[in-house]
Amino acid sequence: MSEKENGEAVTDCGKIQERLSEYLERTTSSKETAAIQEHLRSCRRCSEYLADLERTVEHVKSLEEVEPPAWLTQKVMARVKAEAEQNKGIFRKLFYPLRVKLPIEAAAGVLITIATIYIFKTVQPETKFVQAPSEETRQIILHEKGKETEKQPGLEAGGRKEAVSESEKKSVAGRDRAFVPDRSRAAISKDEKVSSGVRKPEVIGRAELSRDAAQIEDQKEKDLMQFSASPGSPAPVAKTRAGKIGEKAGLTIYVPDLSSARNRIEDIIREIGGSITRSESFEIKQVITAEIEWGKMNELKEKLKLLGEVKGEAKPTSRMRGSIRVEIAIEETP
Amino acid sequence: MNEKRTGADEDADLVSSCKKGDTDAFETLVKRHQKRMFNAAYRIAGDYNEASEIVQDAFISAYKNIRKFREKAKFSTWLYTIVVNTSRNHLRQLNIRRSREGLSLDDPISAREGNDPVSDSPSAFDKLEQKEMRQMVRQCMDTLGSEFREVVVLRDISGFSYEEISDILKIPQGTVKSRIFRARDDLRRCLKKKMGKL
Repeated sequence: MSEKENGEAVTDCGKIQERLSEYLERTTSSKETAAIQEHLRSCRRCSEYLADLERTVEHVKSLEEVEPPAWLTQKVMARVKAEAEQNKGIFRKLFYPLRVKLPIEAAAGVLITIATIYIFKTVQPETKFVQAPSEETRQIILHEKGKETEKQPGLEAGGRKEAVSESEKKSVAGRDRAFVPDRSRAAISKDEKVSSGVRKPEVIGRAELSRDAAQIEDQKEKDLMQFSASPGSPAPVAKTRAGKIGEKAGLTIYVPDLSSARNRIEDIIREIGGSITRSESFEIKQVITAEIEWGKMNELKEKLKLLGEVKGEAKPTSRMRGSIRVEIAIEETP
Repeated sequence: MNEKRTGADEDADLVSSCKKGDTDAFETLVKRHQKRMFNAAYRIAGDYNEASEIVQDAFISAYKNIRKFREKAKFSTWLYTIVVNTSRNHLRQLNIRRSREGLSLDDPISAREGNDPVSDSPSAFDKLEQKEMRQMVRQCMDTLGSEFREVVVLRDISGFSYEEISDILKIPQGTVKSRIFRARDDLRRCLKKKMGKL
């Protein structure tokens, strides 16, 4: 046999031997079986291989069955029963006796649900809803403004006007210097509370005024005493006048966001030592009324300018000292 | 030693009872299958004590998961799968322990028991020659890789078909056949080396 033929034979034997395991178990196809049998007839090596393989399998199969330990079943079942008991135990502990535990657990479930809902609602951030003034309130304010305009023409002598809404109870700091040169002051309604402290009139004698006017003057003096910077100090400063707010003096600031600007303005007022006396919300604007030192006015304006466009002037004069009332209207930038 | 496997019908009723929590039914299954499971575990692990642990763990695992057993396959096949997997896990842990102790992974015989335990059967008395033969066979089986040992045990000792072995080991039948051939070939060479002539 040539080397090539020898090589081919070896290869053939290799392939045959690979199939001998299945051949041994009779799981090869009939065609393959025939081919293997034919090869085995002429190949001694493969025949020996087959014989060895057969004996190997027999030896393996001849390994005796080993008896497991006698305690094996008992030990397995002990663990199985412990497992079963544990599962049952948990179930029993939770739910038995039914008529006692089930209602208790149902009630506990309901309580937990209620508590959860309550806690959830409590920790939610509080949102302040600022209501726009009702139509009625607005009408009252407008009416008052109208009334004041009608009934206090004399006050315009100094080029200044003051109007107070009826809802204002006590006069606050921030007084205008209002000279009352003529008797038209006597016509001022008792219901109107002029929030200005005035110097005792030099021109008009008390005796010449009507009873109501005298009362108003008394009130003014009281206010002066109450709100002036120091007792006996000269009359407090004049209020500034807003551009577009109306007759209430103050400042107007145009901002991109109303709510955040309002909070910041309130902070600014506190920073400069002022106090907020009133805060109103309307549809298109918010108004903050505050009491600040007159000397802080410019500082206030400068800080407000950082937030937006500011309109309104408040120039201090030599006669202006003490606290003033400032009304800051906050509107959104058009 | 081709083992006679219990028919699925016999196990089906017991399995149904077990699913309902009947531990007595499970005990019947344990008694029915424990010997074959033990032998499979013993031949795979090569250690009697290890085989005891493997079988216990395998049966507990079977009990815990019996509700997941789909009765399409035979219960014994499913049980064998658990035994083989448990054996592998134990062998893995054993190898880790032994590698830490500095023992060679290629020298399983020296680290394990050398002899088969004596059977309780009255016919267990063998001629010395046969006893030595079995010893050598076991030693040669121990030299096989675990994947080859598994297929030889399942085929030549437990008597499963190629299809059943494929199901148990979750490998294709072609792989089963090639592994069996390889395992037998290795055993043949090992035995020939030890005995001179088979």
